[in-house]
Amino acid sequence: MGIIYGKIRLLEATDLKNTTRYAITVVCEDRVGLVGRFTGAITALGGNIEVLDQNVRLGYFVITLMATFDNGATAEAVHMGLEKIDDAGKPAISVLPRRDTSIPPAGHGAPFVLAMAGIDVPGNFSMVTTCLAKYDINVESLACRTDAQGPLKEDRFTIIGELTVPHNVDVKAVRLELTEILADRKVKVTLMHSDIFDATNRIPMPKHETEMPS
Amino acid sequence: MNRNEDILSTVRMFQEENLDVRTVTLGINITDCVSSDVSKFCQNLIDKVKRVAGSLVPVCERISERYGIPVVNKRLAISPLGAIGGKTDEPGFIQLAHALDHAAESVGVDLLGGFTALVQKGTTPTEARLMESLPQVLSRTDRICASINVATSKAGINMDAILQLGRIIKLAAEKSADMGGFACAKLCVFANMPEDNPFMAGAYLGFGQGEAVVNVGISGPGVVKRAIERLRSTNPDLDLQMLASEIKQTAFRVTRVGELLGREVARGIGAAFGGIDLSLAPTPRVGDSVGEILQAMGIREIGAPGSTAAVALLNDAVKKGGLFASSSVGGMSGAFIPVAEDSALAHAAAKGTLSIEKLEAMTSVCSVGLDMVCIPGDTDADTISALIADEMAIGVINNKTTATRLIPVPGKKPGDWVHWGGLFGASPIMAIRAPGASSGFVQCGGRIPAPVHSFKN
Repeated sequence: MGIIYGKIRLLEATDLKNTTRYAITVVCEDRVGLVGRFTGAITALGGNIEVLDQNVRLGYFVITLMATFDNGATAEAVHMGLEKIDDAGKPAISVLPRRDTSIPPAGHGAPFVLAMAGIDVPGNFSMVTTCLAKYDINVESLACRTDAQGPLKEDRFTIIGELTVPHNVDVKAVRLELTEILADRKVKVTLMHSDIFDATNRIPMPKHETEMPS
Repeated sequence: MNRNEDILSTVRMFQEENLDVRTVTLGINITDCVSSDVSKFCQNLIDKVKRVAGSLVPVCERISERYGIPVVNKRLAISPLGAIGGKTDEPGFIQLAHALDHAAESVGVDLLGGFTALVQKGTTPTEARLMESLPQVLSRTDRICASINVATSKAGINMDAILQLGRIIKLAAEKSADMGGFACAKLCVFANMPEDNPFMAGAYLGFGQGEAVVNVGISGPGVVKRAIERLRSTNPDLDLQMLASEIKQTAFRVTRVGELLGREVARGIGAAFGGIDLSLAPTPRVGDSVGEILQAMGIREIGAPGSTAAVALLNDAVKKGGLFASSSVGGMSGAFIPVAEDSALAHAAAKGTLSIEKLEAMTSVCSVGLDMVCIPGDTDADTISALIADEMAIGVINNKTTATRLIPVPGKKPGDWVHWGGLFGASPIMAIRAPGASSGFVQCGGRIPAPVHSFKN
């Protein structure tokens, strides 16, 4: 699930001194009802959730959210309030103050999808993301799955990423470089405009893209 | 946001299943090029093709690179020359063909269609001269394709034109004997010929279509075949409704890719977007075959009983998926079964399981017809005309497009092979039952009247 930025109020410079916006991350063992408990706790602490992204990975509940607190709640108070929620274990909680000025602007560029699949060996992630960074390509989301094939076969992995590719980037060159750096890794990599996936998987046709990378 | 499974499924279509855009064909209106001075006519054609189509190939390549989708063929179609040729004589048409061949080469396209005559109810002197020029035109140029519409459900079947074409096809084969009669591979004879068909050799730009129009042929059969194979391997209890549903979904996705690229190309070159032809067009490459789809559907030997039903299911499912995907569907939009261009069909013909008669039956439920069918070089002109007449009758009575591309290969007998290579492939020579026994019928000439159900006014 992607992150949606919404309802963000632009603060005056004076507001920034006493910011009450926090980026909150919680990781703990998954159980039924955790989303309700954590979001309920945020509300009880006086917070308003602006952005939320939650999923379960290998049995772990992971939630990332951004919330504003009009009552001036401190990061410590929010942290303590959330700690009380998980009575079965100790959740890993991070509460970071967030300044509006540090919120990244919407990506400038075209939406692309990265898909990789192959034999799982260490380093695939870093090789690919390092290459993307070289071209100023922003990774908006990235998800990896590994399928264990049993003792007699090598594990296989799949990575799906959503990227923003700046308009001046030569996509062909990026494709070529990705293919070259992964050439000896039994990995297939595809970098395609998201319109292709929208066109083939949704009923409405994608809207006309006015600007695209060369 | 797209689901990961959908993304991987789309990626698989490109990486493993030969998904591409089979052809982007730019139709160009050339009515403003006409001149009674043939040299001036030629120059006008060259100038217009270069002006309108000069950016076609670079734009296709640029968009293809952007999206990461191959565009296999870039082609041109022009207004039907037979209708605008005026007093052009046979040498004049040959001169025009060379000019167009040069123009097509200069803009980097491999084929140009539009040496076309629409003679379903009668033939004008201009159209007759164009048809007589075809043996020379098709054997002496590289890129020119010709098509003759000899029948419609509304007008009936022009048997005089078909008789003339039997002789012309023989002559074209003889003039290109050194290439296995290859000139005939660039000549289509149609019933109910579509005006917006992007596929060669039958592409032309119909009147009323506009000044410059992009029509797109979607990807080939590989994607459909793999989808069926995957479905069968994961569903031991597969039934034919599930099969049809899978083909529909695949056709939807393939059509969307074609439309996305077609619209971008049209915008890039300043032309209108005409539409999508849903036809599954095979190539001689293994894995890119309509015959292999039939095998994946469970017809082990192509031509065996059940082949016609399988083609009917395939054709209908492709149309349903494609029509849902695009509001601009045109052309022939079905499953092509060109024997020489489809290695599985060619081998079935060589093995004897696929006969001309079975092909005819299959064409009654899909597009095109006796396409790229190689017949003995000594087949007489009347028999060729009779084969054409049979296929036209299927189209006229069923109110659908049918066509023939018959190639009497000089010096070859049934069972011999002819090899052209490239997209045109290779084929065995198929036997004709009772050749020479139809003259009494076809020599009557005249016109087979339109069927009663064509009167709808």
